[in-house]
Amino acid sequence: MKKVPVTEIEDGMLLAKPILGTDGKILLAPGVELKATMSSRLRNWGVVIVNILEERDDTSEEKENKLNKLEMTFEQVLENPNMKLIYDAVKKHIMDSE
Amino acid sequence: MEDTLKHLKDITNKLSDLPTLPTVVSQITQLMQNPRTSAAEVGEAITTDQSLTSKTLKLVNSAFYGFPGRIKTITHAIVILGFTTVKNIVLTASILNVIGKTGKSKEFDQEAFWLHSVSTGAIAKVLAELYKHKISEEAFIGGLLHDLGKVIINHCVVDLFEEVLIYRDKHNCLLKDAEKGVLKVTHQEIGSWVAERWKLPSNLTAVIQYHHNPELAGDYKEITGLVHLADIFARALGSGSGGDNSIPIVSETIWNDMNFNSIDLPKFLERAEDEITKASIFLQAI
Repeated sequence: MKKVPVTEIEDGMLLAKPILGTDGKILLAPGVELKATMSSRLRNWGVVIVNILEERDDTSEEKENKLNKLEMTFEQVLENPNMKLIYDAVKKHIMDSE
Repeated sequence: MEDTLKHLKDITNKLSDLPTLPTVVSQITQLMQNPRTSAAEVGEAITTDQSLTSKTLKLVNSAFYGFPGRIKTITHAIVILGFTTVKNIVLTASILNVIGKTGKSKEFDQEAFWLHSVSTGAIAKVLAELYKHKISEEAFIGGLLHDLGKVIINHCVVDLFEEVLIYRDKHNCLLKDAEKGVLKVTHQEIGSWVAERWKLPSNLTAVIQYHHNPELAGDYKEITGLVHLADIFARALGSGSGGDNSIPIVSETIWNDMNFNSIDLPKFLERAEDEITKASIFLQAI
């Protein structure tokens, strides 16, 4: 799953999470295919970002890239307990992301 | 200390093509300090500058603020979004107007730089809300502009900036240490010098000067601490790049002052990422 600003919706994107109205009712259900032309209507509903389904392979490769980058960024600072705490939390955040 | 001032003078003497901010910016900052100033007065001041007006209206109508295409005048924007928000939009729009989003050095990824900046702003905003500090707007702009000094170096003394980048790679150090090695002063010092010349609000100047050592920020320790933490989390999340491959160590004073151990980190990171996605809209609109 990835987050996409409404301004960047493309034809054929599949919704991963429902879009809810202010009253909590479902306006668009998960799995609905989006069209670029829906962008302005969504904006009028006050929607800013939408959750889009991704193909499985892309997700795991992206995760691996993110974890490698994280490792490199923190290489020199892991002895600091607070930095270690941040590192662990972000690592878990990346691994748990859908 | 005296040495730093001398080195700073050496560099700032070379900033001959430092752009000037439109006078309307200092007018507005002044107007806002007077509690009796009306929305119409501020609106009038802004509309004297055509390009600033259209840029401001473009931003307030972007999806970021949630009133797409509905706000037609500056006065209307002030009524709906409030003084502080409009002031911050005008400030950001005019700074980005004069320095531009593109840098001069081809060795520096400017797109990644602005993504890092806007991500820092977004996270600082989330932190301000989390701690119930009523400065989330200021925190956003502070994060967005905290690295002003880097932009200035890349804009005004690009040959020296490229020497800094070479030094950084050779010594595998943080950009600020490479700046110290080559220029003898850092982007914090250069940035705050420019901020003072531009008469930017003092909380913003403090953020620019002290985001790497927020415990020294005096009256503005709160907002500077938020931006300091946000900068570190933007790097940790790998959202853009301010020009470093590594990460500075978080200030222990700020960590303890904010009692950061008690924060629900997974929930915070989730919110931070949402806000970053939202803020990328802001970046497109500007």
